[in-house]
Amino acid sequence: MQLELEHVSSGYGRSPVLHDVSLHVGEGEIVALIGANGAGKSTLLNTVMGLVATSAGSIRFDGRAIGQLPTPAIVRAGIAQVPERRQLFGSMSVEENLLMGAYTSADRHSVATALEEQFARFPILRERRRQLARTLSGGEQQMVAIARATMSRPRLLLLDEPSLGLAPIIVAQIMRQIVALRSARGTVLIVEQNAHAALAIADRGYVLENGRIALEGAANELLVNPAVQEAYLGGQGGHYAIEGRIRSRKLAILGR
Amino acid sequence: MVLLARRKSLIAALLFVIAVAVYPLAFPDSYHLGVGISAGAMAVSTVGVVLLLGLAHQLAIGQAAFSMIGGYANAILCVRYGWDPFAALLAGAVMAMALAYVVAAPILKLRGFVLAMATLALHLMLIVVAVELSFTGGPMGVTGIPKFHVFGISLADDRAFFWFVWLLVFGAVWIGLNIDRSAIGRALRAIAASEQAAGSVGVDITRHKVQMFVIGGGMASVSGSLLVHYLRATDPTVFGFSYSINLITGTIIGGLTSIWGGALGAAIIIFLRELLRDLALPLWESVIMGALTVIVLIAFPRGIAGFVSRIYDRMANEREVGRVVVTEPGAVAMQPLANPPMSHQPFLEVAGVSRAFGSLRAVSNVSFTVGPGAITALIGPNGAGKTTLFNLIGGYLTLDAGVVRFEGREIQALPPRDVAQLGIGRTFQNLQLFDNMTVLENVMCGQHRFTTHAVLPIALRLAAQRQEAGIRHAALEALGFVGLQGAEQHEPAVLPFGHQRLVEIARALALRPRLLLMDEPASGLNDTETERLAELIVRIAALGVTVLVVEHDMRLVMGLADHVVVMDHGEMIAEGAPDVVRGEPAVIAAYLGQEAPARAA
Repeated sequence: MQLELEHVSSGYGRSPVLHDVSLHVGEGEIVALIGANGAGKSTLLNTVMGLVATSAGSIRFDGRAIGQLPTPAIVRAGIAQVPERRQLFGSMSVEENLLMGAYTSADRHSVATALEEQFARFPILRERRRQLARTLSGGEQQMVAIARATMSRPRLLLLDEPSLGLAPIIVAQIMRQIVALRSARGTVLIVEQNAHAALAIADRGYVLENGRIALEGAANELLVNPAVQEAYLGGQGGHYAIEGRIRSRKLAILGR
Repeated sequence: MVLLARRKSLIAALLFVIAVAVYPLAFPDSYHLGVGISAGAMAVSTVGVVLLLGLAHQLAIGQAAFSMIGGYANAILCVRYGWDPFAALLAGAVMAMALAYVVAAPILKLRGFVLAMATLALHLMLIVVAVELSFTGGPMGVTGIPKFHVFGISLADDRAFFWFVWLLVFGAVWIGLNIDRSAIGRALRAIAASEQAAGSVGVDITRHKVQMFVIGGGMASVSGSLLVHYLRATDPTVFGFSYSINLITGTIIGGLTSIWGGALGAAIIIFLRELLRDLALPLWESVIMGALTVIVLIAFPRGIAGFVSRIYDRMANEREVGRVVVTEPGAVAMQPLANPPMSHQPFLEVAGVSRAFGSLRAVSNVSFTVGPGAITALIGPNGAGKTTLFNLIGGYLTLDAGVVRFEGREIQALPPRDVAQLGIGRTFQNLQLFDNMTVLENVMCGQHRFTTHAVLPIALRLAAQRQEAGIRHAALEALGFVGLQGAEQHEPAVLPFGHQRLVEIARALALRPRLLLMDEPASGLNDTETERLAELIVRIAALGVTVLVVEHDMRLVMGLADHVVVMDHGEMIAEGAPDVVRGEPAVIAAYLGQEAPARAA
């Protein structure tokens, strides 16, 4: 296993977000982590990156415990993250954004090669290399974010909601690029609210619900599992009993 | 807390009065009296610094510009026109306040260091004018300024003048304390903590900044007047940049958020300067002053006043605050809305509203209505435009097209404070509490729209003190209603996250809203807290308050809402009763991605 989380709990200050989460990602796999907003998906990625402290459990990367390492050490170990909402350097050019991705590398030759690779993968970025990042379209910005994260040639790429705010046709384009990343040797853990888009390209998937793993399985099985839909839009069973209780309290107090 | 603050302030006043009474008796020579007079002159102008810089965090630092107006007004009026010095002092104050009022509007739109630069530039302009004009005496300035007298009563005796100067200090401090403890004082702190949240409770941010700028300008002018009557001469170097710097440094050392602290700091700075001169180390003056400021700031971030206040708390064990017991929502009753909205007309109407950020169409052509008294939920995937729409309704953003009507009145062009004044309250996705106030004061801010904000009656204690009791009572009621009794004296930051959300809701309720906008109230809450929140929202609706809520927790949305509006990519894709919306293919597709699997029966 390349990445392995065992019984991990974590959160911010007093409010815990993840409870007893276990998941693994094998070498060369694309794994999708899906779930509604607020389920804890981004927190899980931030926990892997060491940006959020674990309160219990262990995280291993290539068999080495990384749970207590500071973020720069985790990046050096070979993990890169494409953050939610892209977080580009808006007033820097496309090329400067990409070069920031290789900030830790002192070897100018290999940086130049990496830059060429990115332009080969995303030809539109070569055209726009001098353009300020904030003037790009949403899809192009997402490409810059992915290209920047892969400049350091990570062995595991964490993608946080690459589809966010993008039109469906652009989402499909981005997803194809992510598949291409795998064929270029990468392992990918992708967090998505857009379950269909993520499961369509993934090998396996996990469904996160209120900070716990609610479901896991092969991606094509999850795609047709009605329980996945319930995790997004609510239902009656399990912890959805709360919905019923809220309804009856409302009826009792407001009479409707 | 308020009582405690009063007691501390009384003790400070007592110590100051004793010091001021005894000092001229202990040091009757004219040198020491002179130092005391300079210290008092500077202390007068610290009050404005505390109000504007300390409380409201506005980096207006060129106070010496206004001291210069006062100083020159006195020099010219007394020497050339033979005015009575006291009349000249008043005239100088009026001139400085007029200038402050005129420049306030453009200057106070600026923020941070740009504001600092602008105030320094104003000062620089005045220095240049004073140097260039022959009327002001050019670089040589004006000499032969008479000793001070008040309409014939001579204060030529240095001791009498010393007492007079410090009497004015006490007057300025009294005005400062009256403002500090009023709705305006809370508004200033609110502006420092979060301008967005301050607007949400109806605080007129510009107005309060201008008020403080004008008052600060007047006090700085008085300070300059007193100084030139002591020096008996003035020239452009008297009110140079170092005057402003000393003033700010002194206030920081004394305590930027304490009216008394500021006055103390000014006195310390002046005495220190003299001490360094006595030691024949004038060259080292600025180095030592600078080092001292840094040391004080590291050791006592809230200045000497903050340090002394904390020691007092510890000795008196005063800050022991009660344990917070969270009770059921509605445990303390709140008055239902006196004139609930009419049921036959649309309450809130969003019609054809659009807003783009660059090429991104965040909200495009959205129309829906919110019925009177209903609970309406606005849902959609991340980035669907829900919060943008909220900000458009609340006046935080301007819209590109469309109309927002509240009880028949168009509100899309109103700023947040006016929207709040109409009775629209709101809570924020990422909590926006005022961390520089207690929980109770936070909620009291919610009552802002019911208070007087005329600065004169508040500064002179003619009004407002009476209304404080009513504000307090209403705030306690709102806190009890959300179930947060016992938390009044806590600072919000020490409360658990779920409690902080309740404080924000109580603050919005203290506004007595007709419409309550809640942006993701359940995010970060556990299941128990979520159910409690739902109960609270139902009870708020039972008061006659209409609720519009953006929320991701579907259990809350589907259990609570009478009506659900669904957005995706900035457009409204569905609306209706919860169970209807839940089954709509377009909604399922929006949440799960494009080709949603058919739901197995």
